[in-house]
Amino acid sequence: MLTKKIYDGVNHQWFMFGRDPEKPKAIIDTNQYMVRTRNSALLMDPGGIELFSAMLANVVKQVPVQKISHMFASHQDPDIISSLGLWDKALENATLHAPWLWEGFIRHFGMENIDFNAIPDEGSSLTLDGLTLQFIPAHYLHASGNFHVYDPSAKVLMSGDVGAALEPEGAPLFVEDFEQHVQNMHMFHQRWMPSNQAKNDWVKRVRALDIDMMCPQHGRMFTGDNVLRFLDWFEALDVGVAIKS
Amino acid sequence: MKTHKGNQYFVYAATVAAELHKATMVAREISLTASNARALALRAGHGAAGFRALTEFIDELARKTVAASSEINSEAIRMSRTASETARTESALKRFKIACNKAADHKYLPSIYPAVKRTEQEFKSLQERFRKQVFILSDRLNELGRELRTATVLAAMSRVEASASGKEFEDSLNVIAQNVAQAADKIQTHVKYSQQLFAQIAV
Repeated sequence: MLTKKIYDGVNHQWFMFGRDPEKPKAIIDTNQYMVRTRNSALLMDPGGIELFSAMLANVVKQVPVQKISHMFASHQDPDIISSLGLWDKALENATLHAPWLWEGFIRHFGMENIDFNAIPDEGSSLTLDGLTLQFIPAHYLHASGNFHVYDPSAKVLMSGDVGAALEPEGAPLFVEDFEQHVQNMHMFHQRWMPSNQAKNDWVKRVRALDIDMMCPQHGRMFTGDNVLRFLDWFEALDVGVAIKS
Repeated sequence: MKTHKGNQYFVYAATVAAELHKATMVAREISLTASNARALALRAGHGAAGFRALTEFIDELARKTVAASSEINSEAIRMSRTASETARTESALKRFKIACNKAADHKYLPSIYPAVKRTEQEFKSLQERFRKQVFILSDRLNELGRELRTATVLAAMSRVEASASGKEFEDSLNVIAQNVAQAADKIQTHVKYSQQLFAQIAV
């Protein structure tokens, strides 16, 4: 599994984990993220059971497991958090932040030691060693209870399934040619995202944020002007199309 | 943890629980038969005095069988839970070990060791708990099996007493004797099958 440091600040860093060549072929490729501060770390959408060993191995390259004090699940899907039962055995003192709506569902993955912090619909924030991260509402994109993580200091938005792309193995980490990349995102967004109203509400909210990098859970990350290009493209896209066919 | 045939323990444990649930249901049939037997023996009057004495034994057999099979069923469900938990912990241990191999030269690899140790201890303690549960359950099954042999004797005695009760009630009392024998036979089948499943568990 590849580890990429995507932000290197004075007091904290962002890491992306993914593109695991040993991943079973039939499971969807995922990007996992981690924010590391001086004494803590937050693992975001830590992934499915099948990726756990590779993830744990890569995480301990950057941080001792005892420092992983927080986890975040944007929603309840298995590719997001089915490894929870395993992290539950690995972490000594951790809290999982996830939409309140999914608590009873997420606990099915096994959670005896990790504490659950239910994020209310309007969102909330988390402070790690003086760094404040915001849980931004992204409901119905695609799950009915859904959040993204925004770091105003690093100007990074972890955008869950928004901005995701379905691509062959070994795709580049960053979007280079936006127009060309649209073909990898089109079907995913039209089919997985159910509501134009929710989508436009999210676009409006995210346009108000200062973003240098947008990091989805599948596919490539967006930097610079490609973030704005994505927002324009997404706003114009008609989603929830399966119901119309 | 797998059986001789490579199946997971928790599958066998769940199958045993299901078998014993069926046995509990059949045991309730004996209970119903015991009530019918009492009523019929009363109606048959003096001629069925011998049979009436037996109805108390049928009743006792029914009570014991229902209690024993439902207790064993609950124990089997507990055992099934332990087996599932053991399988999950074993899987976690396997994944930790893969992570340790992958992270051989990673800076913070030793930080995983306490979790591996904890999980190993948990796995051992679950295995130990499972072994104890298997032992208790096997013992209880053997006990129930022995108890059910009484049913065969009771059915034979009931048939003898039925024939002594006079023409009018003989057939009905024979049906009761037959019901007891059949129910006991069905429970024995479930118990024996459960015992066979236990034999597959390599503890």
